[in-house]
Amino acid sequence: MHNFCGLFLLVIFGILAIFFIRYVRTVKNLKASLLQVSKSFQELDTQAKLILQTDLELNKTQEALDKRLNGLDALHKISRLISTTLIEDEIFRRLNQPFLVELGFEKFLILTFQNSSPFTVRVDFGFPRNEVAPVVQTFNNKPHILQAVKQGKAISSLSAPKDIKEVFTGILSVRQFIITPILSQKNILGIILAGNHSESYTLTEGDEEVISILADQIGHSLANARLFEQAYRSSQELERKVQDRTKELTSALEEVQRISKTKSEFISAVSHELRTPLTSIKGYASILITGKIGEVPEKVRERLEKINKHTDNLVALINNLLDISRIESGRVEMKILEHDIPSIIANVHDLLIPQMRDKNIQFVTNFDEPLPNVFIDSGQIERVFINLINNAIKFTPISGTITAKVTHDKQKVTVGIADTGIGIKDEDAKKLFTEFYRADNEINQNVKGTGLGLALAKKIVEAHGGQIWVTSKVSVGTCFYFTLPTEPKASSATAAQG
Amino acid sequence: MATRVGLGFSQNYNTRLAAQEAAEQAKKYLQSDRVDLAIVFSTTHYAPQEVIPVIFDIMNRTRIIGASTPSIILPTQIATRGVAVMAIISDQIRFESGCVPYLKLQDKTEAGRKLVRSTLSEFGQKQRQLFLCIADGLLDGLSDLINGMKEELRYNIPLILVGSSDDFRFQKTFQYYKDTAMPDGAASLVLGGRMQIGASMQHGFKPIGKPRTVDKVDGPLILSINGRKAGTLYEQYFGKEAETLKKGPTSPLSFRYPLGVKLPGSNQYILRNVLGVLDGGALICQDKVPKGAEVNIMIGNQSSYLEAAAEAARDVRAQLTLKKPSFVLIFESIARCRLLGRSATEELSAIRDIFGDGVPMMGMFCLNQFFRFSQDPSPNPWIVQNGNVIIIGVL
Repeated sequence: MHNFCGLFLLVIFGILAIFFIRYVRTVKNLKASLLQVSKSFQELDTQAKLILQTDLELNKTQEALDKRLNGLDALHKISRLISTTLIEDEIFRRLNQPFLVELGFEKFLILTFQNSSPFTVRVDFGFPRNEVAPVVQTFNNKPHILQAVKQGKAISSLSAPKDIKEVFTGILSVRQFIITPILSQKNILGIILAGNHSESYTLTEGDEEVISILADQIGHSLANARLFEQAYRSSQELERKVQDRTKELTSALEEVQRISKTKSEFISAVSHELRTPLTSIKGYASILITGKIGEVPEKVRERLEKINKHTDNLVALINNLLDISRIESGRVEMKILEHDIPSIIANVHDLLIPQMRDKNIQFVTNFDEPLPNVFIDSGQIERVFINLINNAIKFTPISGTITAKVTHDKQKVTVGIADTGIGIKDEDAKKLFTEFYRADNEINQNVKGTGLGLALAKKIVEAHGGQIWVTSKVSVGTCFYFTLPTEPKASSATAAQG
Repeated sequence: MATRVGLGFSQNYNTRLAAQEAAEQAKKYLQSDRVDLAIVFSTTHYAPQEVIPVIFDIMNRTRIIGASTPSIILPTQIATRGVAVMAIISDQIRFESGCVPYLKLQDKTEAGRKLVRSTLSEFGQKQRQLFLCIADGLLDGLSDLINGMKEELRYNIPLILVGSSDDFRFQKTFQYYKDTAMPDGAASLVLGGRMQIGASMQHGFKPIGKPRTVDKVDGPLILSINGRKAGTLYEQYFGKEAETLKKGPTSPLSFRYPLGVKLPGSNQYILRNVLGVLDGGALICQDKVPKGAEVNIMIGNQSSYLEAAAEAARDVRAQLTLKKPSFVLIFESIARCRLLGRSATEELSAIRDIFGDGVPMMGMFCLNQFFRFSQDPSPNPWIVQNGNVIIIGVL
C-alpha cells in the first residue's frame, strides 16, 4: 500500500514536473513574444515619428505652395483689373479690393508721390483709422528712412538689418513686413508697404517676389495712365487749338465769302450798268459806220471801227465777268444732258478753223474707243473748249500742232488740249486759273486779253463736278486737262453750285 | 407660409453701409416686413458695435444672434471679409434668444444656468429641439459653462456650443445679441415647434503612435503623461520642431497634430489643440482633459478632413429623412481653415452637393466646439473640443 502510494506520488510529481517545465517554457515563449510585440510596437512608434515628421514637412510645403498659388491667383486677378483702365484713381480704386487679402497680408498701404511732393495714401487696408496718418507722416518727415527704397530695392523683415527691421516693425505695428518701391523705368512713383502682425502668417521669399511683381504691375499701369493722361491733355489742347483755328478760319472764310459775294454783286451790278450804255455806243457806232446818217470820212470810219471793236472786247469782258459771277453765286442753271465729246470738239474745231489756217496749225485728235457719253451743259463746255483751243492757237507758233486727247475710266472722261507752244513757267502755271492773272510772256505782252478765260473755264468745269489743271514745259508746250462726269449728278442745281 | 430664409452679404468698405446692404439684401428675400430671427456673422474688418445696431433696426428690432469670425462661409464662397445676415420667418419654427455678458467675471457654471434660464423664460414649455450657444472662444472654462447649461436644461435637449474667434490673433472676439456686440459673453438661441432638425459633428483625424495615459492635470494644463513631463510627448515625435508650440496656438503642431482623447468604451476621439507649452513642461489646452484619459497624437489629411465634412452633411441629411432643409448652419474649427487651405471651397461644394443647390447656407469659423445630440449613440463627455466641423440642418 505504501509502495503504491509512493508510486502514485512519484507519478503525480512527475506529471507536475512535466507541467511545470511546460509552463516555464510557455512563460518563456510568451515573454519572448511580448518582447517581440513590444519591439514591434516600439518600431511602429518610431515609424509613426517618421510619418509625423514627413507629414509636417509635406504640410509645410503644401501650405507654402497654397500661399504662393493664392498669391499668384490674386496677383493675376489684380493685374487683370488694373491693366484694363488708364485712369490713375480707378487703378487704386480697383486695388482696394479683398484680392489684396488673398496676397496673404493683414496690412497693406500704397503711397504715391510726384515730383518730390509728400506721399499720398492711395490704398490702406488693415490699418486702424488712427494708424495711417502717423505712418505717412513718418515717411514724409524722415526721407532718409526711404533711402534704400529710393535706390529701387525692396526691404523686408526677412533680409533687413536688425536696426532697420526694428524701425519698420515699429512704424507699421507689424511683426513681418515688405516695403517695395513702385518703379516706372527708373523713376520711383511710390511704395507698397505690406505687413502681418499675426504669427500665423509666415513671410517667405515667395511673398517678396509676389509683392515685387505687384509693384511692377502697378508701376506699368501708373506709367500708362500718366502717359495716357498726358496724351489726353495734349490732344485736348490740340483739339482746343484746332477748334480755335477752325473758328478763326470759318470766320475768315465767312468774311471772304461775304467780300466775294459783295464783289460778285458789285461786278454784276456794274456789268449790267456798263452793258446798257455799251450797247448804245456800239449801236450808234454801227449806224454811223453804215453812213445812213451821213457820209463818214475814211479817218472817222477807221476810228468808229476801232470804237466798235473795243466795244465788242468790252462786252466780251463784261459777259465773262457776269458768267463767272453767276456761276459763283449759283445763279446759272445748267442744262445737263447726255452728249458725246467728239461732236463737241468737232463743232469747236469747225468754229476755229480760220484762226488755225492763219497760223497753219495742225489739229490732231486722239480719242479712246469707245468713249462713253458725258452729262454736261454742252453750251458751257463748248466755251471751255473754245477758251482752251483759242489759248493754244494763241501760243502755238506757225505750223505747230494742237492735239485734243480724250481718255476715260469708270466715273469720268479726261480731256487734254495740248499745244506745241512756248510753254508756261511753273510759277505762272500755279496762278493761271486766278481771275485777271496773265502770264508774263512775249505773246501776252503783244496780244490783249482779259485774264478771265481760264478762270471762267475752271468755274464751268467745277460746276460740272470736274477738275481742271495744267502741265507745261517751257519751249516744249502746254497741256490743259479737265474731267467730266460719265454719270448724271443728283440735280442740275447741285451741279451749278458745285 | 412655411419657413422663408433670406441671405444677405456685403463687402462694402464702409462698415455701416456693409451692414445695411447685407441686412436689406437678406430682408428682400423674405418679402415681408416681419423677421423672426437674424443670424449675423461679420469678419474682424468691421467694427461690430457699428454693424449690429444697423442690422437690428433694419430687421425690425427682432432677435439677433451671431459672432465675429475670421471668414464667413456662404453657399458659394468662403469670404475672408464681409458682413453676412441670414433672416428667417416661419410659422412652424419658434425661436428665442438670450445672453450672458461679462463671463470672465462670473462663475461659468452659474453663468451657463443663467443663460439657459434667460433664453427659455420667454420660450415657455413648447417643444424644444435645439439649444445653440455662441460664447467667447478665448475664455477658459467653457466646459463649466456647458455643465451649467446641462444642469439647467435638465433633460436631453440637443446642445451645441461654439466659441467665437477673431482673425487668428487670439485677442478679442465678439458675440452678437439683439443690438449689442459683446466681447467676453455668450449668446444663445433655442429652436422649437413643428420642425425637424439634423446635426452632426466630425473631425477626420486618426490616432498615430503609441497611446499614452494622462497622469496629472491641473484645469486646462496637462502636467504629466506616462510619468513624464507632458511636453516631452511632442518632443519625442517632432524633435526641435516641438519648440514652436511655445509660440502659442499659431504653431502648426497645435492644429495639425492635436491631442486625441479616447472616449471610454468607444473608438472615437475628441480633439484638444495644444495652445502652448509652459517652461515646466506642462501642455496648455483650451479646456480640461480628464485625468487617466488615454491620449494619442492625431493626424489627418485633406482628404480625411473633407470626408469628415461630407460625412457630417450626409448624417444630417439622413436625420432629415433625405428632405431638403430650409436652411443649413455650418460651424467650422478655425484650425480646419488652415488645414484645408485652398481645398476649403471643395469642402463647401461637397456639402452643397449633398444638400442640393438653392439651400440657404451660412457659417462661421470658431475656436472650439461642443456637440451633444440626443441621437448620438456614444455621447460625448460634457467638455468642449477643437478641430471639428458641425453642420446643422433645419427643416
